[in-house]
Amino acid sequence: MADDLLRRAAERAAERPFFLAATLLPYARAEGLDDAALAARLGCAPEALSRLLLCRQPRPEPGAFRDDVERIAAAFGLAAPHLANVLRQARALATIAEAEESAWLAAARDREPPVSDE
Amino acid sequence: MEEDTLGGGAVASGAAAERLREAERTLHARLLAGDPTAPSDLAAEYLAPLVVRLARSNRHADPHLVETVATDVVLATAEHPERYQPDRSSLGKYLHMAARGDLRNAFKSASRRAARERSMDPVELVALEGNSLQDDADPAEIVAARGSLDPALLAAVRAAFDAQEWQVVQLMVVDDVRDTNVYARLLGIEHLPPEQRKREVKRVKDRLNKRLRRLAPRIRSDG
Repeated sequence: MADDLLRRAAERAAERPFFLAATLLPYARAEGLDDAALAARLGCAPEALSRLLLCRQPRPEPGAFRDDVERIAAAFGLAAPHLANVLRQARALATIAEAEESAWLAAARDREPPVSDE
Repeated sequence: MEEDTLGGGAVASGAAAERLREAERTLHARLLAGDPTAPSDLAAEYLAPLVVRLARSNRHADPHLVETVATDVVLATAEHPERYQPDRSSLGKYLHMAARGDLRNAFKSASRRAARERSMDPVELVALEGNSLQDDADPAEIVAARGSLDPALLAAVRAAFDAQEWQVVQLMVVDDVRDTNVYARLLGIEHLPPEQRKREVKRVKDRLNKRLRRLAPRIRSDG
């Protein structure tokens, strides 16, 4: 039950860019990964996934990113270089998705008929 | 006896209490220092007891709401640990007080909304739809207002969703459907296990709600 609770919390944390869930859960969806597959991709035990998702995002600055990834990796028994790679892929996918959504909304705006000044 | 340290109400005293307080101070310091694993430890340690305690003190509250409020308080504390002042209370007590306040606000907001809906006759509702949505417009008001929105604005709102999304939006905010299975059928995910199905439906609804909120300022400014 506590595991389910943390999993739901991770889902909610995905709405906050502060948390790792905000990067990894959209990535999992884009890649068609369920929890077990995401855990396997990250190299962590499935039962540790929720807790991993509830970690803070590594800070983006190069030195800080490496430090944070190493701390997370050490806490969850992961290979830090592999975790860093997955996170970079996930961030790249998120950037592309955001760009696509902006372009799509801009296109939708352009399709609006002009409003008369009456 | 000392005030409980963990959110669940377990009371500790003497050396045990001091150990708990020390663990709590350490966790808070890690949060403040930006330790990336500290938010996870906070949630693992405090969320379940907080949900239990909050549910116990609000027996008539919707369990889903209780859990959401408790979760949000824990996540917010992880993001903003500086809001917690360790010299004033234990972390468990702080989380409970914050969650209790948020739950009370949620109740007030729900009862204000219910009262507003009760006080409006159909003519007033039509007047509300006249491109005069409030700043805190609920997504429901945006789409429910479609009946009298300018056709161009309605088209702009409609264009932001594909056919399936639009059906979900209408189920959510016009028909006020709560049954997850209805959405699962529409989304073609009935084959998923119940928990995953529920999560997926929630994810889709949250995404559409966000998009509706983003559209709200455009509707207001065009009004």
